[in-house]
Amino acid sequence: MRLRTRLLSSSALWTAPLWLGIVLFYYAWALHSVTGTFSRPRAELHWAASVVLDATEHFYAFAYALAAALGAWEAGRIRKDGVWDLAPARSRYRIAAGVLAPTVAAASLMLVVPTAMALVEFRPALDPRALLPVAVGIALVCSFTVAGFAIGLRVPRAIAAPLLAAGGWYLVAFTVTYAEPAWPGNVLTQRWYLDFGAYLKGEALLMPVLFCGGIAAAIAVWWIRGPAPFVRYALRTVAAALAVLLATVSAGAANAWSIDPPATAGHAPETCTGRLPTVCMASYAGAADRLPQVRSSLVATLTGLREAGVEVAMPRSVRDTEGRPGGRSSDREWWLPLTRQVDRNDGRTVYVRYSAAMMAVRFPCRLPDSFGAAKEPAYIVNADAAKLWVARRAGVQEPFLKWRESQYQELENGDEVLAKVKERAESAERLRRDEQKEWYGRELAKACRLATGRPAP
Amino acid sequence: MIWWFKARRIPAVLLPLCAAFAVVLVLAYDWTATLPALASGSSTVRFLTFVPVIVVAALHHCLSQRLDAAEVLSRRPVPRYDVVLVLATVGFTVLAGLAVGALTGDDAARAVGRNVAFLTGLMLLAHRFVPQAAAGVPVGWVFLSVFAGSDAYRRPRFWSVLEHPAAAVPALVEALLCFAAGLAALALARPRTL
Repeated sequence: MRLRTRLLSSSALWTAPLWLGIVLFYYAWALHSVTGTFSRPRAELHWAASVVLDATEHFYAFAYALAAALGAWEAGRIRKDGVWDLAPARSRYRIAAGVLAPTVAAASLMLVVPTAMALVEFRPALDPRALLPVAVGIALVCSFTVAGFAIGLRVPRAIAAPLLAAGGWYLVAFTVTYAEPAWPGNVLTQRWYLDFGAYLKGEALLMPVLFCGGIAAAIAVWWIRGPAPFVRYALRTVAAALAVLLATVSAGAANAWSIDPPATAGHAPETCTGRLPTVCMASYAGAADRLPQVRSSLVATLTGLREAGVEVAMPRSVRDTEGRPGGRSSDREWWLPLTRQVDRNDGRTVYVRYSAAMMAVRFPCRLPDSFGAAKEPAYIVNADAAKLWVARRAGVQEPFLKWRESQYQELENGDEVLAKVKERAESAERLRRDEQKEWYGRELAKACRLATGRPAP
Repeated sequence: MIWWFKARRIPAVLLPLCAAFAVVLVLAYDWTATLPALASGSSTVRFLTFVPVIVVAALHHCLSQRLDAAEVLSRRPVPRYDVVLVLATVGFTVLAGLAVGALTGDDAARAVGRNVAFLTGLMLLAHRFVPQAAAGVPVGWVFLSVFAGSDAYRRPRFWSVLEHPAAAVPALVEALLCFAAGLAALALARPRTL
């Protein structure tokens, strides 16, 4: 058959308005105006791997269902026309490949079209690794269409195709609703999400292909017609056993990931500037062009605090947590969410100065994580008075107070505490400069003594 | 009538699938999953929205199994048999849905019969006027209704029928009208001459 005839006679073509319409409308309308996935500025929109997963997220289940349903429909068609049982002159694999090519193309387009649109819209720096999930999706589409084809050879197509379409879509999407067992959602690629700077690990991509591909291959071996019956049965048995083994192994591996498939972070390149401190920000997260401004406001904040009497050593480097989660700050290396805080304020650096000022407050002990965990909850007055004093020296009292006010809502007497904190910080400001420095040291020590119940070292 | 019974493959296809419908209804009536929706991004969709497809697909298959020679040449009231078959099948699903709804107190289960009637009507109309597409129309409607059938507050639109509460009058009326039109199309269809 010529390509034109093949396409025109395929069910893939005349169902196209439905599935292509759903993809295009969802991309153009829902992702931009409703969910905010593509309208809210986020660092992830500059990271190709995240953009690809965001654009295709809802369509994997749909593509598999479409592949299975069209495969079943095509199987019914060639069965009805007698092509499948034609003289052994034609290989069944060629027949199957011929009728399934348009269905695979159709279902793959459901993943490829939104991917291409998103990549063109956001133009992130493209690494081939970002596209691997789509390749895995296409491999699964092939597996589903083979399975659908096999069902369509047995079951009347008017029943098999609608049931596979409805059931396939629903059941694949359904796998995310439960975490126990976790493997169905993981081998059907239903839990994919990536942060900025992260890539899925090889095994996250491999297990779905092993699981579905193994089963599909075993089904395809069933159609073999050439060799003697004994060889045929032996081949089928071996293929089925291998498929069961592969499915068990890959489902077991996928089950061990629990909810999140394994991913590695920290792949996004950084741009750094200056020495002492060297300030680094993620290159493609949308805020790297403000790096010089960020560095100068960091340095200005720290210099200002030192002049005011806060003992803080200039760190050797300040790193950006964007795309590199889990960095632990030390005296020499600070990890701050620079990109997020620049983004948060339309490119102004108030929040950067704020987080630098908060980093400069060093208590001589480890403070508890919550109010309730402290020996004496009143420590919060001294701790926050010291922080507020520092925040006022750095000119960032506004974000500080906003944050504390939201935290104080946990407390019964939040307003009272807030008033007390403000009063202490303001009365400290009326002192002489060297007295202010002493007051600051005493305030830190007192907070520690109240919080831990031990005198500060 | 026996030949009709066998030609339509009622014991082989329709009865098992009706039983399957009832089993699925009982076992899976409370499943929900998140599916993409145009106006609200995504919405939680009941599995029951999809379940009518089982019966409707089976009916479609059975009604297209014909023994043309016997049906054209004889004076047997075949269209009447077919109408009774459709009525009986839809009646069974209505009863099954009401029974499960009464036992579990689930509103969507009570509405399942209405949805089967509506989708059957659609299928019969398609079967009469665009027979090639009849298998795809009901499931296509389900997809469309899930995808575009609710507004931004996840309230079903008037035309979607499927996701309305069981007691919603407009949906009931729409379903009945569509079902009656489908039955009329089935009953009045001239047997195709060979």
